[in-house]
Amino acid sequence: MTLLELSNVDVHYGAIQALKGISFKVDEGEIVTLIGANGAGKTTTLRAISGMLKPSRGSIKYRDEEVSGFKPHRLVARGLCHAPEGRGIFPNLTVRENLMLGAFLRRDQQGIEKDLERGFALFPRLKEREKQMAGTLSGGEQQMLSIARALMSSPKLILLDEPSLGLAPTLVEAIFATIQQINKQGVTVLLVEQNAHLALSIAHHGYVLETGSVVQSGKGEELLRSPDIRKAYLGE
Amino acid sequence: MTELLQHLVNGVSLGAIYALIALGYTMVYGVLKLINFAHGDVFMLGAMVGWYASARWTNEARDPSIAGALAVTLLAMVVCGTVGFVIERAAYRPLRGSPRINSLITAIGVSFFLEYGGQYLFGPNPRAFGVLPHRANFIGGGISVGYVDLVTIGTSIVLMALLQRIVFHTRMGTAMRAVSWNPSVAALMGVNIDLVISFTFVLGSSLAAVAGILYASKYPSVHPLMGLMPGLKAFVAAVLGGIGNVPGAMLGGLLLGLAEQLVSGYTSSSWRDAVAFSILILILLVKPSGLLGRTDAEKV
Amino acid sequence: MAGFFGGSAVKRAWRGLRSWIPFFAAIPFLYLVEATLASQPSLEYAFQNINHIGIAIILAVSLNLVNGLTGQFSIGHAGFMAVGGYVSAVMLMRGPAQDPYRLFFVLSILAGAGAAAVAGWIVGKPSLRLRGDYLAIVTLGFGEIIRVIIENTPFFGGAIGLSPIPHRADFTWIWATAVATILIAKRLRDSSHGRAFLSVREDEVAAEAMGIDTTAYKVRAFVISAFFAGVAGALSGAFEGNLAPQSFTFVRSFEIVAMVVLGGMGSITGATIAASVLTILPEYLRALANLRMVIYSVALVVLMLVRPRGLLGTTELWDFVRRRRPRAKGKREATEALIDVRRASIRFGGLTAVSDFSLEVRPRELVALIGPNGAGKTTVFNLLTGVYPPSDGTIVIMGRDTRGLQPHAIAHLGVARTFQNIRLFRELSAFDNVRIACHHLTRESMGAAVRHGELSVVEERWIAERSEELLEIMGLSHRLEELAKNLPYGEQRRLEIARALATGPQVLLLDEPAAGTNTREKGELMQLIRSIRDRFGVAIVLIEHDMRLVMGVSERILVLDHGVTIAQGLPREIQSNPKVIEAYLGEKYAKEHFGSGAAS
Repeated sequence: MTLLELSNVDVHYGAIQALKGISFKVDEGEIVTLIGANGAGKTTTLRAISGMLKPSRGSIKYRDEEVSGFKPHRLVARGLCHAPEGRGIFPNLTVRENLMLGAFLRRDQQGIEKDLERGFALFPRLKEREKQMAGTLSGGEQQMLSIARALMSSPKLILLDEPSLGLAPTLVEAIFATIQQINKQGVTVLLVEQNAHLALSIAHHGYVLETGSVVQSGKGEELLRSPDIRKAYLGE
Repeated sequence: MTELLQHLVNGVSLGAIYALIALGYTMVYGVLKLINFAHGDVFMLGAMVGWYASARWTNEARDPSIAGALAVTLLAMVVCGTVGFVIERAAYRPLRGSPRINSLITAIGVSFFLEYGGQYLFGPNPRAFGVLPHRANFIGGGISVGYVDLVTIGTSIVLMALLQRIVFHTRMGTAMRAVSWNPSVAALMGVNIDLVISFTFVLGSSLAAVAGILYASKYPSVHPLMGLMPGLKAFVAAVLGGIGNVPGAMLGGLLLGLAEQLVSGYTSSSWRDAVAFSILILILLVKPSGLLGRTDAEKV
Repeated sequence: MAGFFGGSAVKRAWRGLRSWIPFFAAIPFLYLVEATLASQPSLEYAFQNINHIGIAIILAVSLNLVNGLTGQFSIGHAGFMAVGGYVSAVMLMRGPAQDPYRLFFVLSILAGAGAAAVAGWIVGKPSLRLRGDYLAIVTLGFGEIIRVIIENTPFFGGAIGLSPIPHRADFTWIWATAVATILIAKRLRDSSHGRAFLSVREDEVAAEAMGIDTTAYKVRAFVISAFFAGVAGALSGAFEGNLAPQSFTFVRSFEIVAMVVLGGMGSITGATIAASVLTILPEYLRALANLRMVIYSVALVVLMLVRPRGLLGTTELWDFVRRRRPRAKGKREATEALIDVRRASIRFGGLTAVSDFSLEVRPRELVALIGPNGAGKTTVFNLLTGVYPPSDGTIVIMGRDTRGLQPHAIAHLGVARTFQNIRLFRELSAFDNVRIACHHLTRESMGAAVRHGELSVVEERWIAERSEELLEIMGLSHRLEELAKNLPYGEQRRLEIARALATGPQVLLLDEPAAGTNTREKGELMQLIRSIRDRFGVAIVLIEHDMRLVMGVSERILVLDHGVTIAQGLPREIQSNPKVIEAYLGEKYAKEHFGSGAAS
C-alpha cells in the first residue's frame, strides 16, 4: 500500500528553483532512500514533505490525504515525523527532556513510557546519559538522540536526513543496523544519505536526485550495480 | 537608614511593575526574536480600559470595591490580550522571515498607531485614575507603605509565580520554550508554532494590562503616551536580565526599579530617565546577553 | 622648480573647485529665489515650510548613510541633531552681534557638527559591534540621555530651551547645505567606499572575507551621519531662533527613520523625496488634526508589509540619466611561502572541531581537502581566514603570524575564499559584487572620493576594468547588471569565485564549488579551476565531495575525519588508503572502484 506519494512537486527559494517536478512514492513498510550530490534537493524534498517548506506546485499525498502545504505539527499528529539534518537537538535540555519533547502531541502516558523504553533499548548509550545535557553528547550520540526522539511520536513514517553525517564509520554501521531494526518494527523509513552505498544497500527502493529532479530510480541493489550511479556518486 | 528603606520599598514596587511589562517583551523576543515596541502601548491600553470601565461601573464619589477592581482588571486583560493577538496576526505574522529591521519598523509603526489612536479617542490630556479602593498608608518604623504599593507587590508576586508555573510546568510552556530554542525543530516535534506565538502575545499583553492598571493606580493618572517611558524601561529591564529569559526579566525589572528610585531619591528625579538608558548601554557593552542570558555564536 | 610646484597647486586647486561646480552653480540660483520671492509677506509661510524641508533632507540623507547604505539601524539621530544645534546656538548667542559674511556662523556650524561627529564616534565605536535591534536600542537610549542631560543643564537653557538665537540661517544657507549634503552623499555612494558600505549591509562575513574592515566602515558611516545631523541641528536653531529639548525626542528620531524607510533604504533620491513629502504632508493634513499621526503610522505599517524595501528601493534618479563606466588595468605578482599552518586546533565548548591540523600551501599548488560532512573542513577555512582564531597552534600566512588578525586583514594578506552556502551580496549587481572586492586594493581617501580627486577617478576606472575582465573570464559578462540573487545557482558559484579573485589573492579557498552543479558543469568547473591557477598564478585549496573533480584537479589531498587529518598524499595514494576508504569513500565503493580500475 502506498503511504506517501509526491507528484510533480516544485519548490522555490525566492527566485531559485530547488525542486523541479519531483515525483516518487514510498510504500508502507519499506525503506526508501534519496541519494544525490549536495544541493541536488534531497533535504529540500524532506522539508517539503514534513511541511517545513511550502511547495509552489504539485501534490504530496500521505495516507491518501493531500498534505501539501500542511504545517509540520499537523503531519506529526498524523504519524509523519522528520529527524532533521544537523540533528536539531535542544542542547540545553537533558536527554530525557529531549525525548519527552518528541512525544509532545501524545497524551497516553503508558504508551510514552513504553516508547521511551524502546528508544533506550535501541540506543543503550542514551539510557546511560538520560540526565545529561544533550549539548554535551558526542556527535554520534546526538544522532541517536535525534532518531530516538523522532520515534517518540510513534510515527508510521519517519524521515531521516543524513543520519551518518559526521559519524565514525563503525557508528554509521550501528546506526544503519538500527534503522533496519526500526523498519522491522513496522516503521516506514524515508532516508536521505550522502553515503550512497550504505543507503542503497539497506533500501528497498532508491531514487537518484540531480539538480532538483529525479533522474533515476529502482530497487536498492539494482541502483547499487548501475554503472551510471557508480560513476556519478562513487567518484570513478 | 529609614530613608534608604523607604526608597527600597518604593523601588521594589516600581520594579515589580517594570518586571510585569518586561515579561511580555522577553517572552515575545524569546519566541519571535522581535522587539515588540508596541508592548508599552498595550500597557497604556490596559490602563485606559481600566479608566473607561471604572468610570462606567464605579461611582466616583464612592470608594471602589475590591470586586470591582478585580472585574475591571480582568476586562483590561481580556481587551489587551485580544489586541495583542490582533497585532501579531495583522502586523507581525506577514513579516515573519523578513529582515529584522523591517519587523522593528513595523513594531514602531504599531506603537505609534496605538499612541495616536489613543490620543484621538481619549484626548491628549491625563485623566485621574482610581480603580483600587482608597486605603490609608501603612506606617511603621518611619516608613510609609502605600496601599497601592502593597497591592502591586502582592499581585506581581502572584502573577510571576503563575507565569513561572505556566512556562516551566505546562505543555504550552514547554512548547514556548521549545520554540524559543529552535522554532523549526519545535515544529517537527508537533508544536503548533502559530498557536504558541499567539498564546505568547496574549499572555504578555494581559500581563501588561495588569501592569498598566497598577501603574496608573500608583501615579493616579492615565494618558495616551504613558506607555512610552515605562515601555522603554521595561525593555531595558528585559535586556538587563537577558532578553528571552523569564527569570531574567523579573530580576532586571526589580534592579531597574531600585536603581531608578535610589537615583531619584538621592539626586534629582529629573535624572531618573537617564539612569535606565545608562544601565542599558552599560549592560549591552559589557555583557550583551544580559545578566542571566546565554550567547549564541553565528555560524559561517 | 617653484613654477612646477605652483602650477601643480593651481591645477589641484582648480580640480578641487571644479568638482564643486554643481554646488556653486546652485548658490546664485538660490540667492536669486530668496531675493525675489522669500521677502514677500504672502510667501512667508510657504518659505518656512520649504526651509523645514531643506533641513529634513539633510537629516534624512545623512541617516540614510547609516540605515540605508550600511544597514545599521540607528534611531537616535535627533540626539546628534541636538548636540550640533546646542553647541552652535551657544556659540551664536555669545558670539559677535554682527556677523557680516557669516563667517562666525560657519564656524559655529562646523563646531556643532564636529561635536556631533565626536558624539557619534563615542557612541558608535563601542556599540556598533552590536547587531540590529540591540544597536537600535543603544542609539535610542543615547538619544534620550542627551535629551535628559540638556534638560538638566542650565547652561543649555534646561527644559525651557535656548532663545533667542540670532537668525543667521535663511533659505539660501539651508538649501545650499542641503544641495552639498546630497552631492557628498551621492559621491560617497558611487565611490568604492560607498560599495564598501553596501557590502556591510549585505553580508558582513563576506565583506570581511573581501578585505573590508566592517567595523571601521560602520563607525565611519556613523560619524559622517552624525556630523550632518549636527549641521542640520545648527541650521535649525539659527533658523527658528530657539531650541528646546522637547523637539529632540525619540519621536523626532523616528520621523527621520520613517523618511529613510519610506524613501527606500539606501536611496538618496528616495530619502530626499520622502523628507519633502513627510514634511509638507502634516501641513495638508492639518484639517484632520489628531488623525494625522494615526494615518501616518498605519501608512508606515502597510508600507512595510507591502513594500519592505521602501518606495524606491535602492533606485536613484540618476540611474535613469546616465550609464557610463570608467575603465583601466592591473596585475599582481605571486611570491613564495603562502600558508603555513602548524598544529592548529579549535574547540567549541567541549567539542574539538579540528585538532592538530598542519598544512603548507606553496605557490600555484592545487590542494584538496576532503572528508565526511562535519569533519571540520569548512572550519579549517574559517581558521585560515580568521573567522575563528585557533585555540592552539599557529597559522602563518605570507610569512606573517595571523594571531589576532581580523578576517579583512587576512584578506589583505592575499587569501580569498568562497562560501559553501554562497554568501554573495544578494541585492547588488554582479558587477558591484566584484567591484566591492577590489576596494581594499585602492588607496583613495573618502575625501578624495567626494572631491572626485584625480587618484579616485583613475582607481575607479581601474576597478571597473578589472571587474569586467574577471566577469568575462568567469563567463558572466552578460550578467553584469543582474542582481546576484537572480543568477542561476551555477552562475552564483562562479560569481563568488570572480569576487574572490578580485581581491587579488595569492591563495584561493574554494568551499564546495561543485555543489549543486550537474555533471556537465562539473567538467567545465574542472577546466576553470585549472585555468584560474594558470592565469592568475594563485594557489588553490579546494573542499569538495565530488571525487571525480577532486581526483581530476588536485595535486595533493588531505583527508579530514572528526577534525583529525587521517591521511594526506597524492590522489592515487588517497584512493587506496584503507583509512580513507573506511572513513569516507566506503568499503564497498572502494572495492568496486578498484575492481573496475583493475579491469581497465
